[in-house]
Amino acid sequence: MITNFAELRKHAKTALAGKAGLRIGVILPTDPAHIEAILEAVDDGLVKPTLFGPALEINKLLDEAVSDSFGSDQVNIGMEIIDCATADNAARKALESAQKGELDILLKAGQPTRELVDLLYDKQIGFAGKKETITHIGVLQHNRYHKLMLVSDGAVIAEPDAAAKMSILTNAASLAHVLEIETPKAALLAAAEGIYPAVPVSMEEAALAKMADRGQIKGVLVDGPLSFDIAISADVAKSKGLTGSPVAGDTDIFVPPTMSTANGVYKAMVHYAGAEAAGIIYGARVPIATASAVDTSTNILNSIALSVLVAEQ
Amino acid sequence: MAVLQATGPITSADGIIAAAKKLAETDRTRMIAVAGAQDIAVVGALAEANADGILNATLFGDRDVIKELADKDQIDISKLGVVHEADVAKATYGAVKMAAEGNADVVMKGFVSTSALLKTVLAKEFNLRVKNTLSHCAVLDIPGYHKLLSMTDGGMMVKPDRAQKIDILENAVLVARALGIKPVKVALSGAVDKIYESVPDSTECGELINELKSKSLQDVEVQGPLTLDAATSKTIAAKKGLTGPVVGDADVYISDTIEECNIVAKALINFIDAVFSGVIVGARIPVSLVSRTDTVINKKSSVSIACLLAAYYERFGGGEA
Repeated sequence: MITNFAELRKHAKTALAGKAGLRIGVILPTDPAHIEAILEAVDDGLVKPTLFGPALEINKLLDEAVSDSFGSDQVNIGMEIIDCATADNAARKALESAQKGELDILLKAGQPTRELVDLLYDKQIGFAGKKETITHIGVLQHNRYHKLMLVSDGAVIAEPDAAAKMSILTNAASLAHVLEIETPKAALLAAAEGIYPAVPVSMEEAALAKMADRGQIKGVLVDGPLSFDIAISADVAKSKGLTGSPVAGDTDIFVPPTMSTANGVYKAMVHYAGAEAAGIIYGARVPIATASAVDTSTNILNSIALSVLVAEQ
Repeated sequence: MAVLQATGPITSADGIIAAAKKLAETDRTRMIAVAGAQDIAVVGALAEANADGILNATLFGDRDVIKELADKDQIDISKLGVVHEADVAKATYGAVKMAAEGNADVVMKGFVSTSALLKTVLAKEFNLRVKNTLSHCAVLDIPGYHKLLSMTDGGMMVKPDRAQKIDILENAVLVARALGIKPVKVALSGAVDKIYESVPDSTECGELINELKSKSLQDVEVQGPLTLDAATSKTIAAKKGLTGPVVGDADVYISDTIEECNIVAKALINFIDAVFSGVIVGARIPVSLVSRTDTVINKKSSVSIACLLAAYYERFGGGEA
């Protein structure tokens, strides 16, 4: 079971042992943090990048980064750059290339995530059909929690209904298995642990937990509704009189009721609580590592390593 | 009250407590009426705030039980008033009546359900109802943010419609004003920073903003949808190429759902020790509530913010934002 990002990066390297790095398409690497992460991933032997975006700007960032780390701008880092004037153009080209099988993974760098998500379902590109369920999963590591926290979905499914939440759970469980978490535990988050007819979210979550109990959602233990503090602390669960929950205090997968909630949790944890993190768009033709504006180069490297690990399964 | 304005906007939980203390020293010590005071978390917080010179309190509840609980935890309640009433409903009625008659400034939840308390507060005979929506404001002191961030509503409205969201917003503006904040910068939450057709919340957010424009609230800036990071970090907002009156500097973050506010606030409280001061807004008097799991400073700043809000209402009225 992988419980932190240092292990995760090590596993990604091991998975590739003796092989060349995976072909990664990077969409709009326009921030020094993107470049730094990519160079490090190359250095680790994880990836062979193709960069999609404005060539002039990217070259300048590469020169700066290379002279920063090697004291010279003469090092040939041998990265292919596909010059694209706009974010939309960069994303389309990268998706098309992945679709043709020319890329193993993608990294969403500077483009707003939503723009890319909309393109995934763009009929003309045809990257994703209706039948695939694609979700975003954020992975967090904080010294106050004893293992990795998977949070989903903060970026793809805008208003998940019960069926979509089943897919969110299934995808997150599948990623948890990649992380060698044998029986992942999922908490369906709400404002409180009570189940009330007047609170629709609590009714839906209780029903989903029941479905999981009966084996209708496989590979994952599910409980809900649970408040966030109960999900992370068995003591709080006890003090609120909630007993017998197999998930409370030991949650691997946190499923908030809405996209903005999951997004808010990721931002609160990374931007304020200093959590180390990774993000991935999961379930599409190729894994898509995601870099949010709050993410450091370390987080972006984690995202790349996570996508490598998923692609190598 | 002049002293409150002179101090400028309050930017921390400690600042809230200090301002409430100053208010007691320079103006008048506010009185808290507790509904069902046989609740040790509440009595403990009030005894301590009273000893600090922040407030006075009258405990409506079962005198014997209150005394027993206080003795057990070695809490000195000799400076607090006690009105014996063993029946919780009657104790609640007594506390609310005290406030309605102008003898208490804040009503505080003790050993009574929130819904029963609020039902009493909104009973016609007391004339404490101002608008149709009561909402909970969690004013967060988040390490790493340069000002207080009021997150709302994580406790009252299960699925607020547009009209209720406007009420929630106006309630939060009152709290911000009581903290000396002007103009009040309000961000509407989202998972995105722009309106996308594929994100229904974001289009609804756009409609809400249009409606707010027609209300032209004074000294209030509203922007949304904004993600938490874009609303509260100028650096992130700049990276995302966002501009506007609120980005990176929000005083208020209006959540889309009760769950969102509750869950995100708990992440900040549990993982970075954000201190929150909570108060229920929307009636003619503030309603205060603390819970057993709250920290000492968190309880103290919650009762303090209720005192500040009561003083603001006294001066400017508790009705409209």
